[in-house]
Amino acid sequence: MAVVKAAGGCAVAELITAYLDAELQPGELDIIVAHLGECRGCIVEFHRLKEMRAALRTLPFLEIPERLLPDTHPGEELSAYLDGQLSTIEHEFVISHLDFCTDCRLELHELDSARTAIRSLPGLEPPEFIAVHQERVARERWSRRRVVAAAVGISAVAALAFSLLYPSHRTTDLDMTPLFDQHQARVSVEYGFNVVPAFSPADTAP
Amino acid sequence: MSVRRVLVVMLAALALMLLSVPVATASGLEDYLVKATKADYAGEQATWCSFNGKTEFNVVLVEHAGSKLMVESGGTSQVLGDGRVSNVDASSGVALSHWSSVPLADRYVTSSIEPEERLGRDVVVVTVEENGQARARLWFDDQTGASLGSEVYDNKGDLFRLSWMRNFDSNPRRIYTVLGASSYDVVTTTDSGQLPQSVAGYERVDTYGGPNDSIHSFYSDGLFSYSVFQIEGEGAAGPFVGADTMKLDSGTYRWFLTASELWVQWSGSGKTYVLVGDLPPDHLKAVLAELPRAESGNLLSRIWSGIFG
Repeated sequence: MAVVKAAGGCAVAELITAYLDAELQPGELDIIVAHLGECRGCIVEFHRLKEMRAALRTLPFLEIPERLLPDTHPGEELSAYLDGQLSTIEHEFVISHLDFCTDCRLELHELDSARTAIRSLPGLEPPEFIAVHQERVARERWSRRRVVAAAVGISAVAALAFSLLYPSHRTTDLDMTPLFDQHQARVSVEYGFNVVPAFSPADTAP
Repeated sequence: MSVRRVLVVMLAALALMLLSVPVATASGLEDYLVKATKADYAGEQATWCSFNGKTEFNVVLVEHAGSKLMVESGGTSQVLGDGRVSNVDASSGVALSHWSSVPLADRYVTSSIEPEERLGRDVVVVTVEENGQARARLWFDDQTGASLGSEVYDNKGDLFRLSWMRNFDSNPRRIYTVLGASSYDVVTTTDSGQLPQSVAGYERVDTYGGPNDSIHSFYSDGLFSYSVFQIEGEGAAGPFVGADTMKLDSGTYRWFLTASELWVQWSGSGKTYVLVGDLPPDHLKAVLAELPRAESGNLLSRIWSGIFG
């Protein structure tokens, strides 16, 4: 169990950590509750530790990319390497891998040769029927755009009308029970106006 | 000399007259309320509440011992007291680290304390007035000090809430066998999200960090009390979806009723507010008027929320 000293070196800081780790012994909760009522330093420390634990719980699991593992060949990265599309880390990985992997050096050489061969092919003018086809496609695109614009406009008007008729009720997934418990805990130290909050609001949800 | 004697006699008579006025202030009520918090008893308690044409009724088993109260309802048990709530079946609970107190507000005056009999026991009935009108009547058991019943009225004199013991035993037994929760969520005070210190005669007594990153402000006037939870984001939540609404100064408030408390929810300025408490309806309206207002639901905001949520 980690021991964290609160501001001012309070001895109760250890118990706070134990509380957060669910390792309290019987009777120790009373000490914490009483102490937190009067020690501002420990309140701050309590919140800090609680937030830290919450943050740690929400950290994503990180996985090492398979290609960065030893004995893994770059594969598709070789093509990206030739295109100059690798990130710095990937670039370094490919370079260092090529230093010792004869297979990958050979593959890279074949890839480069193929690309050179493709680039050296003569350029071709498109036949006339393709130009006519391209013109027709452009006209169709323009009319399609007009249809899309009209649809967007109609949707906006519909959303506007709907919002006026039915005001939005964004439902958040809020549980009333913890609120009720905390309210009751506070009411329990009020004077004895004996009207007992009898049940959870979850039971009486309309 | 004789003039002095006359003066002394007159002053003495005046002092006796002042002392003999039984209940000119609310101090008598405070004594009864304090005594009730330490009473030992058990029995069935019924509660009834009415608001805006709706009523709720409920019966629970209660056992009170020292400063602890056990409530059983629908097969579940809770133990309340000393700033803690234990949900016995779930073995979980909430423990406050700190709380303050406020005295009974000046607006309450104890107008009468009269003997009566209820459930075959000697009791006193304390009538509390506010602005010359009955606000509450409370029945206290002579022997144990327990509160055997209460009535709360609105400012028109209509009954708002009623509670009474259907039977009474001065020896609680089961509460001693119920253990507290095995784990508590400790709640500490905070300085953030401060609502007004004074709201319609209620003082903000404590502010805590609340569940779901909310801020919990607790208000009391010594007789009634309520909590306000501030939650980031807007929108109807949980049981308030589809609940009844009421309009106050063009703001929209959602509400529902339990047999002992009122719940109100509203949104404004990017926040959602939830109020829960036992305050009477006219107090509630005055309180809502002084807390951050509900969205007016005007054309622009409805368009905005309708499109973007």
